[in-house]
Amino acid sequence: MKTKIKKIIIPLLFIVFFIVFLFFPSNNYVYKQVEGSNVNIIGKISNKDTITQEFVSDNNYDAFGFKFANYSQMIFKGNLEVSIKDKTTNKTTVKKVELNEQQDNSYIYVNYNLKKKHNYEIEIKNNSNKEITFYTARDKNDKTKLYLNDKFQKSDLQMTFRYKEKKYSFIWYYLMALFLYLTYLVLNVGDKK
Amino acid sequence: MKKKIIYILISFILSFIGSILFEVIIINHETIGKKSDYNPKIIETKDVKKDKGYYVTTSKDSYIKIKANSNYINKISFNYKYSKDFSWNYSYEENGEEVKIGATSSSFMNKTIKKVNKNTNTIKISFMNKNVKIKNISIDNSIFIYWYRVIALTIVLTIIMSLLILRKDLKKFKIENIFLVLALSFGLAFIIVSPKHIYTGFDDQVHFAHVLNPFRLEKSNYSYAEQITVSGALVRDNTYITTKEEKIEFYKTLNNIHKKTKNRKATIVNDRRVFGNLIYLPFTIGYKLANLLNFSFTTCLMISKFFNLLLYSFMMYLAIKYAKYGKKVIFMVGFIPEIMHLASQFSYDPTIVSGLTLATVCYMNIIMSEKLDKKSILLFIICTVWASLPKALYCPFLLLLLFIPNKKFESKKQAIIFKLLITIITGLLMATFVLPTATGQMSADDRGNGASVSGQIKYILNNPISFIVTLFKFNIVYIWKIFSEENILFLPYLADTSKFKILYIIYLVTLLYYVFTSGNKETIKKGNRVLLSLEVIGIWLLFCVALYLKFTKVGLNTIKGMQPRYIDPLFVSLFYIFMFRKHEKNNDYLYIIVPTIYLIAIIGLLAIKVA
Repeated sequence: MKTKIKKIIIPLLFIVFFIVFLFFPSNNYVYKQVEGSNVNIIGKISNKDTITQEFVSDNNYDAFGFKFANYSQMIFKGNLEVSIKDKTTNKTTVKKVELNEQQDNSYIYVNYNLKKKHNYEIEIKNNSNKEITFYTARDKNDKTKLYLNDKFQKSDLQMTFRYKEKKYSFIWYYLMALFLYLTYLVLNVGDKK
Repeated sequence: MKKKIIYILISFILSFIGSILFEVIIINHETIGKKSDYNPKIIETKDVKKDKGYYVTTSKDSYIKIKANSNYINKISFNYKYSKDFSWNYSYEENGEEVKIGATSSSFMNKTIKKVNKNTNTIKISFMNKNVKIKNISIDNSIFIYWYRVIALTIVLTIIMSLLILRKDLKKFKIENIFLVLALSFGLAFIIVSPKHIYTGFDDQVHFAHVLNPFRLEKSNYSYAEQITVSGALVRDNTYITTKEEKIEFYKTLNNIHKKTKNRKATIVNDRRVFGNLIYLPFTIGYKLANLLNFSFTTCLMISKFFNLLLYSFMMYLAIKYAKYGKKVIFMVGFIPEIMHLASQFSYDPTIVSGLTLATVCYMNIIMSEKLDKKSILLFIICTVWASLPKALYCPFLLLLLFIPNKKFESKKQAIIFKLLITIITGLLMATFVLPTATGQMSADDRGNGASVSGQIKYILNNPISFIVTLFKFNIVYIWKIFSEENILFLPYLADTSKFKILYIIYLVTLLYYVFTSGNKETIKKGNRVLLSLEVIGIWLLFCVALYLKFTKVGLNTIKGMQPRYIDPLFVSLFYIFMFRKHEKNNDYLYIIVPTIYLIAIIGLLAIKVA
C-alpha cells in the first residue's frame, strides 16, 4: 500500500496539480493609486451630506476605492450608498458598502467595472448615525470635479483603482513540493536495502 | 519518588499562598488598613451640570473637586462616556503646591482608575472638552490582587522548590526532558506575566495581523478588539493605561468588544507572501481553536502564544535529544533570556532558532555517521526549509548537504541526483528574494531613510571596492555585538534590564565554559569545521548585503538596520566549531542553575514592573 501511494497516487496528484495551476491560475489584484498633493480631509460627513466626484477612467478596472476615516469610532450599523453614473452610457448603478467592515484610515473598495475613457459621476451618502470623513488630494485636471452638497471643492477624493492579473505564483509551491518529494524518493528512506 | 511528588504538590500550594501574601503585604502595603470612599463629597465644580445621573462638562475649562473622608488617597476612579478619546488631568496639593498629572481616556472604554498614593484628602479633576459625562467618582483605597502576577509567581516559586526537592535526582532525568519541563513552565510564566496586547516583542503588531490572516484572504473575521490590538494606539501612548486596575478594565473592554464583533468581516493587511506566513500556523491554530471554544479575547491571545511555545520547546527538545554531544550548550542556547521571552510572544524568531538548531544537530549526525543517515537528512531539509520560509537568507544552510561524501550514498548516480535536487530547492528559496531584487520589484524598507534597492545596486556595481571596505569595516566593529547584552537580554518595549549585567556576564561565561569543555570521542573533522564557519560567515554577510540594499541610504559607508539577533539561529553551528574536546569535561548542573536564576530574575522584574 505504501509503495502504491509513493509511486502511483502522489505522482498522479502532482500531474493533476500541474494541470490545474497551469491552466487555471488564480487572480492577483493590482492597485493603481492616484498620486496627489496637499492631502487633507473633506470634513465631517454626516447622514445629511452628499459627496459627488466626477472623473474619467484612464483604463479598464474592476473596482475603485476612496480613502475613508471614522475618527476611531466603532461603527456597528449603517452603510455607504454609492451610486455610480456612467455618463457615457447614461447608466446608473447603486452599491451599498457596509461601514462595519471598514477600517479607519484605509481605502473602501466598490466592485464595479470601470471602462476606459468613460465619464463617471459617483455620489456617496453616509447611511449611518456616525460622522465619517474622506481623504482628499489635489489632482486637478479638467476631467475631475468634487462637490460636497453641490458645492465645488478645490481637491478630489483620494482614489485608487484595481485590476486583475493572472497569478502564477502557485508554480513556486508546486515546484518546491515536487523537488522535496523527489529528494525523499532519491533517498529511499525506509527501504531495506 | 512518590514522596517527592507529594512534596512538589505541597510546594505548589505553598507557592500559591506565598504569592498571594506577597501581593497583599508587599505590593498593597500602602492600602492595608485604609478605607475606600465610594461617595466622596463634591466640594466645588466649574461648568459642570447634572443630567440623568451624570456630571456633564459644559465648557473646555470644567472641573470637579472632591473631598475624601480619610487623609490618604491611593487611587481615584470614575465612569465616563464620550464620543472620542479625551485628555484630562487630576491635581492635588503637596507642600503647598499644586501637583497636576495628565491623562488620556479612550472612547472604547468607560472607566478610568488613576494612581495618586498621597496623604491628601482633596482632588481636582479637570476636563478640556465639552459634553464629557462622568459618574461614580470614587476614592479607591482597597487591596487589589493582580491574579496574572500571582499565577506567574506561583509557577516560578514551584520551579525553584521542585528543583531543590529533586536536586539529588537530577542525574536520573534526561537533559532533554528537563529542558522541556522548564521551557514550558518558564514560557508559560512569561506569557502570563506579559501584557495581554502587542508591543511586547519585535514588530509583534505586524506578526499578530499575519497570525489573523496567514492565507491573505481578501476578507476575514476581524473583530474590533483585534483591530484595536493591531493598531496598538492605546498601549503605545503611555498616558492611556497607567495602572494595573485600568489594564484589567482594558482587557475586559477588549473581551466584550471581541465577543460582540468576532464575526465582523474586514480586510486584514498582510503583504507577506503565503509561504512566509506558514511559520505563523501554530499561533493561528491556537488562536482559532481558542476562539472556537469561545474563550475570551485575552485568553485567545495567551493560548495562541502557548501553541508557538509548544513548537519551540518541542523542536529544541528534539535537538538536545538527537545531539551526540554539546547537549548542555544547546540547553543553554535554548534558554537565552531574549529567545525564551520571544518564544512566548508573537514572534517567529524562536521558531527559526529552534529549526536551524535542530538542523545543525542533524547535520552533525549526518557527518559523524559512517552510513548515510537518511532520517537525519530528511529532518535537516524539513527544518531548514521551515526556518527559511520567513527569512530566506538562511536557506544557504541547505548547501551543507552538498559536502556529504559521495561514497556514503548507494551509488554515485544517487549522490549526484540528490545534490542536484538540494541545489534546486536552495535556488527556489533564494529566488524569493533574488528575483524581486534583480527585477526591481523589491522596494526599500520604509524605515530606511534614503534607501533605494535599485540605487544601492547601481552604487555597488560602480564602487565594488568601496562596498567591500564598508562591509569589512562594519563587521570589525559590529561582530562583537553578537554576544552583547543586546542579543542575550533585551526585552523590547517591556523593561530596562541593565540591572542584570552581572547575571548576563555569568550566563555568557557559563555558556562559553560549556562550549570549550564539550566534545566527543569522535569529533568532527577540520574540513567540516571550516565548512560550518564559511556557512555562518556567509549567511551573516548575506544579511549585511540585504540590509545595505533595503535599509541603508544609498552610498553610505555603514550598514543600517542590522541586528545581532540574526545570528541566533546559527549560534549552535558557531559553537560546534569550537567543541573539539575528546570527552565532555563538565559534570555539574550550572547549565540548569544559571538559566533558572536568570529567568526567575527577569520574570520577577516583569511581574512587578510590567505585568
